[in-house]
Amino acid sequence: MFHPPTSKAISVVLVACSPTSIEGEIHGPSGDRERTDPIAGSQSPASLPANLAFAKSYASFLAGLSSVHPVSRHASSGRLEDLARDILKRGDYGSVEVSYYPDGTPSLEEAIQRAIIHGAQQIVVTPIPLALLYNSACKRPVTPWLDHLRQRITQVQSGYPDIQIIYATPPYDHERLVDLILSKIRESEPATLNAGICNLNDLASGETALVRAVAGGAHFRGRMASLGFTPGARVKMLQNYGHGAVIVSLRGTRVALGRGEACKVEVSRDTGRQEPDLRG
Amino acid sequence: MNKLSLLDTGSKLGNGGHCAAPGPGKSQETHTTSSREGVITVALAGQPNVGKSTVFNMLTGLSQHVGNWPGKTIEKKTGAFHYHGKIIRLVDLPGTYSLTANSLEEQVARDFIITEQPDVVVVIVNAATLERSLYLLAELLWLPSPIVLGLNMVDVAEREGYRVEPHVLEAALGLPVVPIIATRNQGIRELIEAVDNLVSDPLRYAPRRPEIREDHQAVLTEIESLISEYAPPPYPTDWVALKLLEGDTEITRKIKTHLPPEHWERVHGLLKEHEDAILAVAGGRYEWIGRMMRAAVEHPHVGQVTLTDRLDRVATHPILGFLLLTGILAFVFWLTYSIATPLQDWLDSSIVQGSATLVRQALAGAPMWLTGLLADGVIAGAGTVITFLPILIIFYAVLGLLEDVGYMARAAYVMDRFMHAMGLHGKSFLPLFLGFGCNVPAVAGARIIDSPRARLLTIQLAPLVPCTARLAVIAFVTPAFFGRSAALVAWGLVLLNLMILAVAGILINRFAFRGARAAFIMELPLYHIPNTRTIGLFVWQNTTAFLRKAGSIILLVSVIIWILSAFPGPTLEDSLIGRLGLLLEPVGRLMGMDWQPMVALVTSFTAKENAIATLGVLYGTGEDGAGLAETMARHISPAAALAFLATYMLFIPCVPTLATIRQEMGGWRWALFNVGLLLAVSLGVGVLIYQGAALVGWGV
Repeated sequence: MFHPPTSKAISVVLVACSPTSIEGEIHGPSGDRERTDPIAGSQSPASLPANLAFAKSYASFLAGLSSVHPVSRHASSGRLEDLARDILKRGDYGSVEVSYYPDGTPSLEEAIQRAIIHGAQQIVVTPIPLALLYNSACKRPVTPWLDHLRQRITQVQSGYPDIQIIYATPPYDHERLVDLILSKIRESEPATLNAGICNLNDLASGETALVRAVAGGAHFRGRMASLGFTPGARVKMLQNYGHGAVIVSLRGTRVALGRGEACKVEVSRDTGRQEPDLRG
Repeated sequence: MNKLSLLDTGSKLGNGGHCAAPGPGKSQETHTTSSREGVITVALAGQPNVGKSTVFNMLTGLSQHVGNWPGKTIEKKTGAFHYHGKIIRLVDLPGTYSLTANSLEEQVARDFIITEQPDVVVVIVNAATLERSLYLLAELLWLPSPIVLGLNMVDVAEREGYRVEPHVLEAALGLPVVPIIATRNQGIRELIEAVDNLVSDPLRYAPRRPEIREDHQAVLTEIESLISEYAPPPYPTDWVALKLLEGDTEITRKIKTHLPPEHWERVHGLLKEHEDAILAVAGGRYEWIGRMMRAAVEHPHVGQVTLTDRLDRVATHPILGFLLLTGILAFVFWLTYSIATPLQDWLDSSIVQGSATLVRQALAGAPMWLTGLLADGVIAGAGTVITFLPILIIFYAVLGLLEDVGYMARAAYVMDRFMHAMGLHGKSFLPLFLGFGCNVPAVAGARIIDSPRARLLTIQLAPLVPCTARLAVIAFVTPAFFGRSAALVAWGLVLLNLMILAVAGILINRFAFRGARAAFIMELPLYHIPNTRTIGLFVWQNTTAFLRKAGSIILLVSVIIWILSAFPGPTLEDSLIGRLGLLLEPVGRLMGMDWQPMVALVTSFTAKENAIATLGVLYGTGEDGAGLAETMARHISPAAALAFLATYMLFIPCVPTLATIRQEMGGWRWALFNVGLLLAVSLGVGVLIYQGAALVGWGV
């Protein structure tokens, strides 16, 4: 897989936070909210899981209105790690850290410090409202308050036998969420490091670039792959007028692509070095 | 995956090589799992634009049999020829870029190789685009049949600056590589020789297969071990594992039914974990291809501008390209009509009328009905078909030429923007343009479109393209009513059709398909010198298909119409047709017409050009048209004539077209929808025009 050196200097910090007002809810179980000095003595990764379990319950408390049930292990914030993993994989960043706001563990400061240890020169902090993390596909109730909500609905329903009250599952689509987060991160990526990475539509006629990734469904990616659009392939923009289909050349073939299709191909521009374009 | 080449699949009416009866799947192929004594089964595979059909045509010529793959609307071409006392049976597989289950063509191709197990698969690659065309080889090497590689278009490669060393490639690949120039019939004999050698001496075959990329090797092995006892023969286990990782839907479905639940769970888990393994598989193939190429291929120099580049500067320019396209299309029309029309007239006067006169003389003493039937029914009907031919032949010839040269892909590119608005894309332009010759190949030609929705939409819109029959009719009728502005009116009617086509496309796409648009991914092949034999075959196959399909029906219906108009009563009004027309008269009155033009509309259903013949019979002037125009001008007002012509142009598709729609869509539902749609549109427009003219007080 081709790794352009530039994106490794960027780290992403995902911050799970509750949409509800933070100030009002803090008067809950004070527990042992571990605070660590952000400068000295950061948490070692090995001790993370124990803190994480508590952080999960705390996060879930923040998100709920009143939590009376014991917190399930597989609380929604397990999703945050899944997201982080996929964003790391697809976005090809130096590292992706998770943190829980305002006082969860790991905290924002810890996550930033970890990113710096990984060698980040620039860090993009991305807030993720917890509401987005509820997994609707899981059969077991993953958050207490959703369960609670369901019970309340059943109670209310029994009072109105002639009316149908329906519970709609909370929206959650992992792939789309990853795409969305990635695009938001890219929008705010510092311009200097972002210069190299764009999609095919951004290439001007005559520019060459290397394919980094192809978005879209499996069918589309398969078709593109069979025509040569795989990570690492060198592509040259032959014609791009800013509107209408573009024509590119890769692997010795001229291919015309609609703009919608071209924008799904992520490339990184060849910077400066004049490599002889052997495949025209 | 894109197949732009009409010459490969699109415009031929691949339905039952010998009869007009539509019947999908009437293939005469029998299952052979191994070569019978003296018969070698060879499958011909290759990506689009590599010259595969040229090779096939060179080997089989006119003796090729065109049918359908069983149960599908995909064309199947087979042929046979002798070689050193053996019979070689050649099967032309659909041209595809890869062998995933994304499209029917790919499924058909790979199913054939797996289940029928041909003795040899000949893979044709394009030496000028080797890096990409080897991708299919990389896929095929995982299937059981041995492969011979035909390295085609070495002349084009030379011209573009590539030099390929066949011996080096052969050594690197471990399978026979034969350089050929199919258009010049060079190397083909050597190719068959290599096939023969391979069959006689299979032990020497030791190909190098591409591997999956390193990081996914472990997963692949694990999946292989999980499915090894359960993969249904004849599917090879390692190929199945690879396809599973690629996310192939058909294979995934098949395996799921064959695996015990726990195994499936584990496999499914692995597949979910490695959802983007397709990139590893494809990447591995390209790495392998890269190694092969580095050994055997010399690249062009930096900055060398090729002929294709230079031509494309104009051909794909948004403005210049469009102008070029309209220029070429205008030229096609001009050529067709300037050469064809005199030919038509000559055919009509000397052959058609001549035979009619002969028949009348010969049957001077015979009963009236017999003479009438033969002279005015059969010969008139046959005459219509024959006069059609010059236009069709020239039209197909020019189209075939443009396609063979490689220009058609540029035309599709330029037209994409306009097609886009209708929810189609550039590729739909070609079948629709074919509609100007005849709607039947336009509907059949929609096969080149991959997306089912775009294909359906193209087929629904194809009958709106005015075919030569309709153009001929309006060319005949307009002078009688509009004098010197006849040509303008005729053009206006054509443009009306096209506008309604555009509007219908936009509306159907917006409401029925919710604005979804098929992906536009299309290869632009290199320009190359056309091959007369290929074009000749293209013209031949299309014309004969038209004759078979449409000709028989037109003939039959002419006779029927004659009968309907002659019986039972002595006068026309008493005939069956007359009664039908009288029934329709109320509708006609809204358009200012009496029953005769309405009957003409009805008969145009069977074949568009029947309208003229019918009008001739009904107005009592005979079908030769003498005096018909003047007679009509006396009976019908200009506004009514305009309304009639507009309705006629937009009317429901003729029987041959309808039959083709039914066949292509695999059922009556969409065909009948089309009939209803066009019926409503045509009558609506006709009424609007007449009432509008009446309001304005023009020509009534």
